[in-house]
Amino acid sequence: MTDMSYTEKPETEELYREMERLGQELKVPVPSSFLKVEVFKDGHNIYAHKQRSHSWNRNAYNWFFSQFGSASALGTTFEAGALTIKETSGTIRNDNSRGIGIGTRRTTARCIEDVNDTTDNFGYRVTAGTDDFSILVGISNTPEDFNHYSLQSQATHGSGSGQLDHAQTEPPVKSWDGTTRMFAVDWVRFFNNNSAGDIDINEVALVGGIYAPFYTSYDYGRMVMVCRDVLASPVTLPDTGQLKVTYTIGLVFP
Amino acid sequence: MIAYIENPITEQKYQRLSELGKDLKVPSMGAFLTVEVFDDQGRPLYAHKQRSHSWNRNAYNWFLCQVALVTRHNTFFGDGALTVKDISGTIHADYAGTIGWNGRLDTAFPYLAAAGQTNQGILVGSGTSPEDFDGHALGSLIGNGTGAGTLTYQAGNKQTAVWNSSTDTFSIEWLRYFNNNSGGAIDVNEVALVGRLHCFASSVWYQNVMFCRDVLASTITVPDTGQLKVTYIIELAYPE
Repeated sequence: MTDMSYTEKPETEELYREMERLGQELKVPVPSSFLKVEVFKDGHNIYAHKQRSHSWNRNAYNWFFSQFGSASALGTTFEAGALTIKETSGTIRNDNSRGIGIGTRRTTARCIEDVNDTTDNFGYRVTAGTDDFSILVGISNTPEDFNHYSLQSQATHGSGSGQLDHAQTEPPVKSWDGTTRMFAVDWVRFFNNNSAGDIDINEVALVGGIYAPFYTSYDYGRMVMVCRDVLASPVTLPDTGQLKVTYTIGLVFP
Repeated sequence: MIAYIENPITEQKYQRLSELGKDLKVPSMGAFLTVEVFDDQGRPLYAHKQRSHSWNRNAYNWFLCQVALVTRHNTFFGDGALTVKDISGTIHADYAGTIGWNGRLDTAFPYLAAAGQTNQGILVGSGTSPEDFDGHALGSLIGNGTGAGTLTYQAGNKQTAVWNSSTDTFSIEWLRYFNNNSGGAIDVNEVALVGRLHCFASSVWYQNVMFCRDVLASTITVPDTGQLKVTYIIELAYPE
């Protein structure tokens, strides 16, 4: 069993904590986001680390501002001063009569936390084999960029060379810590390496099926990457090994 | 001239929070409130600007449900629950969608109220009870009308976000006018922002939910035939 090491630099960790304290004191919501990466081989945990997720991107900022500000899309580009969404496909959504986010559900029989496939596209939870949203991984070490909208070199679903079998996203686990006053949500996904070779993981992303405004039908969301974390060093997933990625998104309440 | 009355010590903290957010790429929403009073000739009688201090539990739950893309948790309204309490006091905890605005063309913006509407948009009241994180309604809403103790609520206007390239900040102003035709002066002590959002349930899609309530530092009097203008400015600094 490998102990989970916390790799966040102490000086930046102190800044994150200062920000959370200020948010709590001033009653300004400050989202906390953590990323855990674990590797298993033959049932044994051979690697584990935890860090802050550092990379809410322009999509995420536009999403949050649109929600809280009740602001509709603005502009046609994806850059400073534009309030738009760029899907993982590169398509920019900018219908100026709508907001960004999710306010409803697909059908009366489905919940945002239910497993979704590519005809539903809501939330972070997807079926096995779905590799266009939820937690995704890749092999590129290109630095994080606020304007990135997709992984730079995704490890797609499959058992061919360089591919990973994408398991279904686990149901979210919600928890309340009365001591730290943090409400946290864990999103977990497993990836199995049946490619017959090692795969080096360098990047991890969270892609939401988000109702980006901009669409004439509200029946399904668009695939929007909201953060992409480049790992400090490659995490090697051996053949027949299993990768577990956890995003923990939390909020410290006043 | 609008006086900025935020306490310098807390203002420094808000600014530090914004700086940290930019450095760390963690979004933290700023909110300001301006309150202005005019006489029947449109001449300014009073004006101040301050931070809005009061995102409440509804707002926090809204934020977390969006960012984590989850639905409700538990069915009460308090620590450890992800629910919404609307302005009538009803708790919404259906297991379905999440809390949020999806901006349908055929539905109103969350903060955009019609003339006379006192359950959405910017509302004002006379209550002085302290702000409460669990508060879900104004302490004492001033009703719409021309009778004693009432104000005529004007319609809100659709607003557009504005980008400030010097500060790398998006901001949007939501404002509302209130006319006093009651025949007497009216004291305003509290201001609230009430949004109309999806809250989990599909059968009743929209709920009217208060996200902040600011108790003013001192009473503001709107004279008879005077006009009150309240503006909420919501902003987010980007890590450009």
